[in-house]
Amino acid sequence: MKCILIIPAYNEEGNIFKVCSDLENKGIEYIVINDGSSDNTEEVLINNNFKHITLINNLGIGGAVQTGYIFAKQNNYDYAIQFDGDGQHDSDYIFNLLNTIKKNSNIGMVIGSRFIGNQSKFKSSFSRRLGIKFLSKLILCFTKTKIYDVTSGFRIVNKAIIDNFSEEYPYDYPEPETIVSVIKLGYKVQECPVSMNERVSGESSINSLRSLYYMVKVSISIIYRGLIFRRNK
Amino acid sequence: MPINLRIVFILASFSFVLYLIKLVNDKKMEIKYSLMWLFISFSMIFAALFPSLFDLASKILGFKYTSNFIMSLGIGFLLFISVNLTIIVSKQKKLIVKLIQEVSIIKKDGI
Repeated sequence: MKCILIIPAYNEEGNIFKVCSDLENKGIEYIVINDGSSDNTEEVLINNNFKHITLINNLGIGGAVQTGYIFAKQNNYDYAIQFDGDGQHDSDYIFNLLNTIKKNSNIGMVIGSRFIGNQSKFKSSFSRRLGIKFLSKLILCFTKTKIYDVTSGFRIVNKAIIDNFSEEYPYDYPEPETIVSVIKLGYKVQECPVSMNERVSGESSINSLRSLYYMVKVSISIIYRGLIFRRNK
Repeated sequence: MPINLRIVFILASFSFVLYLIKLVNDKKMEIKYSLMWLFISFSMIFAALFPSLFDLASKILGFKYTSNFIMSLGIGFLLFISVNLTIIVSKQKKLIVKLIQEVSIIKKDGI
């Protein structure tokens, strides 16, 4: 079963070397999507021969990740895993995700969750955790599925979902909305406990000023997604 | 606001919201762009439910009739949306130009 890691990277010159060397050492297949970085990310990728696609213009997380799904579909991968380019995700958990999704062909997505099991040392701000709880309840309301870590970008999907995401993927803040999409397509979404690291260098692209806009926009997109009728598989 | 007008406002806004949902589901409109129109629909519903607020606001601002105030608000919203659309179109033009340029350069290498 072919599996590939999709690694969106925007201005990650400080982190991308460590992330890719780790994967190369473990023999894990990956593709970095350089989302029009303005720093030296591209040089690091070229100089070390890391496998990558460079977008000629910045598309944002949605467009970058979707490029990875298109690549995965074109190359016939059976599973694709979204993996952060900033070093926050731990590659040791990849096999947990893979084993969980393989258990049942009806599972469309398995999310690496920081909030189930006790392994996670990752701390988030209070308001962020409150926001995540709210989104979790909203998703439960429309899909009857309880997901604890709705914003985790560490997730694996199966071939059917790869096909779907390569055609349609939200451009902004896609993590919670895509959970609803997968369920509406008739597949299950499960979680698997993981722990994540703190960001080593660079800046996160979400700051507290944008949080309110984020919450409103994500909630509305969950509601839109949740209101469509179930399509046939 | 007379009751029949209020009912018309609410029905019209509600149908519009349903239409917006359909457009988004058919992938004809981005969720992000539908937010502006959603905002207008909810404002209309709000105006229909609390018309006295609008009577008060229009008097304070100096309008002779509340309907003039609501029309002006409507024109203001449409102006705002038009400007936003112009900004979006400008951004898209830039991206399209860049795409054409890059593809042309790739073609030169015989791919």
